[in-house]
Amino acid sequence: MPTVSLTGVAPGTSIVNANVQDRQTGCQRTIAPIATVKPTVTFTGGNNFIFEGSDPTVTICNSEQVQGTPTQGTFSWSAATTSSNHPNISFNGSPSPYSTSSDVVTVTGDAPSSSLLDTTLTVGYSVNNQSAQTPATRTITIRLFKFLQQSGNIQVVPINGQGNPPKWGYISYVYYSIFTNPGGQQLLPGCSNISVYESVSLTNSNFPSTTVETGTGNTSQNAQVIDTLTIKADNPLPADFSASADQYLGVGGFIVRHNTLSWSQSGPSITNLGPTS
Amino acid sequence: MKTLATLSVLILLHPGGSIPGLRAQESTTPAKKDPFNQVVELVELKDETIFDEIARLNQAFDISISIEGILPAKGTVANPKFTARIEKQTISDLLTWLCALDTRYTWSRDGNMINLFPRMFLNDKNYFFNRLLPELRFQDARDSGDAAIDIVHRLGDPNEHLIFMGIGGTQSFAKPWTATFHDITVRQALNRIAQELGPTYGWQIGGTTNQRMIMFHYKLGARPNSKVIHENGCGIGFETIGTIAPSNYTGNRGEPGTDGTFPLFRESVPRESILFFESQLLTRPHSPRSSS
Repeated sequence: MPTVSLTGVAPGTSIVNANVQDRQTGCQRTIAPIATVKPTVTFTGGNNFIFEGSDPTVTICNSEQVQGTPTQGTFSWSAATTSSNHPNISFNGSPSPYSTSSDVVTVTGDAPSSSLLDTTLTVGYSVNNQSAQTPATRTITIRLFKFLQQSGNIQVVPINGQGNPPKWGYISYVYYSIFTNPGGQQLLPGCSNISVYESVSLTNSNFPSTTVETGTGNTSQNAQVIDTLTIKADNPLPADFSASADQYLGVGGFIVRHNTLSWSQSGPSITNLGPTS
Repeated sequence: MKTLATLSVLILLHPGGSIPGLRAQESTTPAKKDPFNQVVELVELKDETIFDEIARLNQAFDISISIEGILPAKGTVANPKFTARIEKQTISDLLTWLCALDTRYTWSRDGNMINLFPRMFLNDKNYFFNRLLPELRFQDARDSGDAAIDIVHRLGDPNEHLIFMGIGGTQSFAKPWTATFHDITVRQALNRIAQELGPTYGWQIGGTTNQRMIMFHYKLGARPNSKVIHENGCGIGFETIGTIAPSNYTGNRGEPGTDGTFPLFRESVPRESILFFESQLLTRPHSPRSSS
């Protein structure tokens, strides 16, 4: 049986006119089969994870992109999850039933995955009333910012009368790597500038309002939280200088670390009160 | 309008328009209206210091607050606690009411900054923060600590000292700062530093008379309804699967709250053992710092 291969240039249906001649009998027949051309769709951008929450500095990292061939079609996104936390998943802020038809969407989830890759994104594609035979699928993990792990020692830079006017004390830097659950996966470079929240309570230092917000920062290019702790004075610090504070650090809208900070004349020390996993 | 936006968020988060001990009136604050004339519908202290209420005020309104604590020679000062309530007061009237409760303190206004300080030093020209600087110049100042210590040096009094405590994003200016001021008090100079850090920034004085410490802040208090409950006395509730919840969360999850948001906590976690944190709903558009 003779076969021919056809290549479609645009989705839709066409009638293929063909003249077929039987070489043995010499009979000639005309046939007109209907050929259907189907579009295709694949994931071309984004990751196999998103971060839980709706902090705008986080959702910017939650972008997923597909490409349809040929272009000019419309996409239909949907999501399914087996997470026991039952996250509600939205595309571009719209929850189910989904109506997003663009190729690039921001995916948000309001609860984390309970296991790795337990959530499936499915994208259909249609052009000229023809739908992709196989939708694009991607399994993802909805990660929750969960805990920080101090990276290396505290870096203490002494200040011994430098500057004009001179100052004494120290500047110290604490580097934290960021970990997400499930799976305790470390946040890797690639998504920076995630909001970092910090508040401290100084209960034994005679500050009238004991709890203060110290301002919002952002994660570094190395996907770390860098906390700067400074003590500066117009004179050398007294030998008995001491202070302490309870510190809370948050990343992307989630508290991820509780410390007790203690300052002495020579530098700070940190007691990690968790979480640690 | 920014204030209104913030208030709207707070009211949205708190059905009935209330946050603990403070309820802001939703109505009619024109954009240009004096922020100190905004009306606070209800203020309630329940065995609390006036500073607890002032922190709530700072959280609810985009105003700056700085406090000079009363410093002991050593040890700690116990601030008196009050149980009292008052309704429908402007922020200005409310501050006066609070200072009538804790008569050790009085307040003054410097632009958008509220300064609370010990009443006994109100007219004491020798009090550190009342001292006058004929001229003060900051040249390419890069951080609040250096600028604060420059003020002490500028006084030229070997008996006056200041220790700067810098934590997180209260230290660096967005860009090097050059400014000259004339006939400015130490208090006003510190206010200018806070303002250079950003709107709503303020400062506090703590420590002792021998170790006077200054700390700048973005806002006093923790975010509204930020609530840290220690489990077994050893830390925050680690059983949470999320740490963001609307304040009207009642223990069910999977259903939206009345504000349309979804509680994020595992059903088995009691409300009391959850750490509330509503940062994404209250993310402030202020200058990001290079590090926290």
